[in-house]
Amino acid sequence: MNPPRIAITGMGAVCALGTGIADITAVLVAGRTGLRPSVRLPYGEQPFGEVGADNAVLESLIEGRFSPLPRSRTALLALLAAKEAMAGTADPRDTAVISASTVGGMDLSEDLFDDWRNGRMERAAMALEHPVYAHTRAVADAVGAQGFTTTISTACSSSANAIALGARLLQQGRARRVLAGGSDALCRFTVEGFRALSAMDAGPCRPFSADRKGMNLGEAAAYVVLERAEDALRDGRVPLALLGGWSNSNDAHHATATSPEGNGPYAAMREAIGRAGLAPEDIDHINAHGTGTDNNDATELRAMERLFGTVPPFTSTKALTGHTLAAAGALEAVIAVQCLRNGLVPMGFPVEGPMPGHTAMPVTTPQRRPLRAVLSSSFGFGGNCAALVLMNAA
Amino acid sequence: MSRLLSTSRTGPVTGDPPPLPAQAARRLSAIQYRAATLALAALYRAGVERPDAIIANTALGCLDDTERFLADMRDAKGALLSPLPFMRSTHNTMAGQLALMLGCHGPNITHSQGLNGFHAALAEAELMLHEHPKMKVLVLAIDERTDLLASVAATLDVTTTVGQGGEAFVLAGDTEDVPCIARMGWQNGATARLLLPLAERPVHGSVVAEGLGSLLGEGLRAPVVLSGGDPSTALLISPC
Amino acid sequence: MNELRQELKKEIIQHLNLQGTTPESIADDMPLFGEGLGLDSIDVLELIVLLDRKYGVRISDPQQGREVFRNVTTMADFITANTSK
Repeated sequence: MNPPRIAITGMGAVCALGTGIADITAVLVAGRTGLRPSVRLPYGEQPFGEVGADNAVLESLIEGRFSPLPRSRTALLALLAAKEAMAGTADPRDTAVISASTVGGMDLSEDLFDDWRNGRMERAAMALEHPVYAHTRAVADAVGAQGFTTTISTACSSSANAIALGARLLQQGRARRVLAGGSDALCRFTVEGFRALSAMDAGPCRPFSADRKGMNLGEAAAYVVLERAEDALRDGRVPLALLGGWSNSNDAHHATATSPEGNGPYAAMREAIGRAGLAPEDIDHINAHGTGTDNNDATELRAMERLFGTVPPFTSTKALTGHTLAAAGALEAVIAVQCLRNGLVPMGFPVEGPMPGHTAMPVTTPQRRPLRAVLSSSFGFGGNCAALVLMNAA
Repeated sequence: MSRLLSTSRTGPVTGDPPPLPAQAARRLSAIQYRAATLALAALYRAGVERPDAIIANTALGCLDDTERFLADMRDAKGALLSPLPFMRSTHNTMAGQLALMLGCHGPNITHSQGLNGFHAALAEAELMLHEHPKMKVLVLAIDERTDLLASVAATLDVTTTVGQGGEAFVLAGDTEDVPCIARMGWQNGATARLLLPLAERPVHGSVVAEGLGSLLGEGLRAPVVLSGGDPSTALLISPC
Repeated sequence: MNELRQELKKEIIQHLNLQGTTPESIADDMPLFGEGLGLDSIDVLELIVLLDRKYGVRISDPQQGREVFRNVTTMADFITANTSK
């Protein structure tokens, strides 16, 4: 017997492109980037995918009475996106919550660390928001979910893994509905960390370009509501898309570099496509991981060429949103769904030619055409490779 | 349904597990070193060379390296920052290092959910093994305390027991004809004693894992329930 | 000059936590990467930090780092060349 099909029946997101699915989609269609210098962090002209709202504005946008509001930006972004995703769910109680974060409340802790280590404890209570799971409880309470709750933290693949776990729970009948996604806010800790790794481009990132020099960081929160398709239809909820496939595998080559042949990415993409019951030629568009680093883009394209032969139109939307770390998997899944629903292949960075040693190059102008299946890839630190296949519900 | 084959101290294979190779150990922080030692011991005791999946749980992650990098950010005053503490500060560092050490290309997940993270990791293992009963899954729970954490916790009068230890387990599907030290499955309404957390006092997942490890070390005589608070995913761990 | 090389060997061992390696076992011209000492791209970054912190010499591009860190001799030459200004 075939396992039950998984439908996406709700979505919410906030990122550099805008607050809410409609705003984000409009900017994608228009082909504009969200990368710009940071307003909140002191890094001069360095581009970031920063959400264009400070914490006070975010607080005002979170609907409904919810007191007290968290102070961490990661949590505020998460609440905004989660509430949008769950807006169409009449009875939220029987919902599992699987969130993801790498930053957690570090945006608060990094400013208070010096106080704490010197014994100045007036604001020690902020430490309660430090763990990566602090925002998850806030999200569950805010949307009224009472089911299984956990937080996944696997760097850049985190929220893709959260979505995969959600699908598994549903297929094996261990949940009625799952809210899955993640959130990460920009903070100095992360910026300094990637700087120390020489992984950032001081200018706008150029994924899959011959002269790429590294990534740009971003922040975002994104959530999808997953249900068994048969349950959704019975409740009269029209699926926005189907989650056809998912996978997680480990490259196991080096802590911060992918193997030259892209073995982990290859395995993850292949498994997700297979689970969806599809062949590589059924994929109409790839939302690539495409961070813009020397190593990722070369190994990822190598893996795509190995798997597809002729690579379908592919884009790194990180050229528009920045690398949103734990939120990336879910944000890019949401973008993939909007691409399916709108018949859109978005552009990333407009490269001038293929990278040396390759013939494939990413999409350089937005394309409009019907799409049946989109592959979304997320590859992270620690060799963690995750892939999702989204399919048109129509 | 699945089976627990071993913990770091209990399993069919007796004797001392081999030590970590020096080259592998050079870049490991204290928590990573402990994680690797526990994991290798559990694999040794189960007679498994390489797992097919690695699922880790940590509530607060690699605090020492996190603090190191924060201190460096503050104290370096414009000098270059060493990237190693940053790399090691991410929660999935343990699972990632183990994948490298063991050449494990399968699923690699890290759960962080305070009191319930270990339960979540086991629940994910149960889901995976239902789909692929022939897999061997390594589940690891670990945490570390630092002086700074202790002083913050004291100030806040936190009642949760924060982990400073952990345990590792090897699991397989129930169809495997292998020796087992316990069986695991969904509770589905069966009654049994509730294992920490919630039962006695709030403790982090890695402390729950240690508790389960101790029970298994003594020989599990009666079933226990491990729950994250939601009945659909509560796990029943029972004697073989 | 020989003193600097000896010092560098000790620094490398300590900074990169090469337990079980002695300064005597690192020849002046032994390749630090790949076949010789077996260091990797993260070690390049760590060595760049070492040069900056201890010797006040900054390498801005990790690619340049590969050349500078070919062996202990090239490291010592680079430090000497960049601190006698």
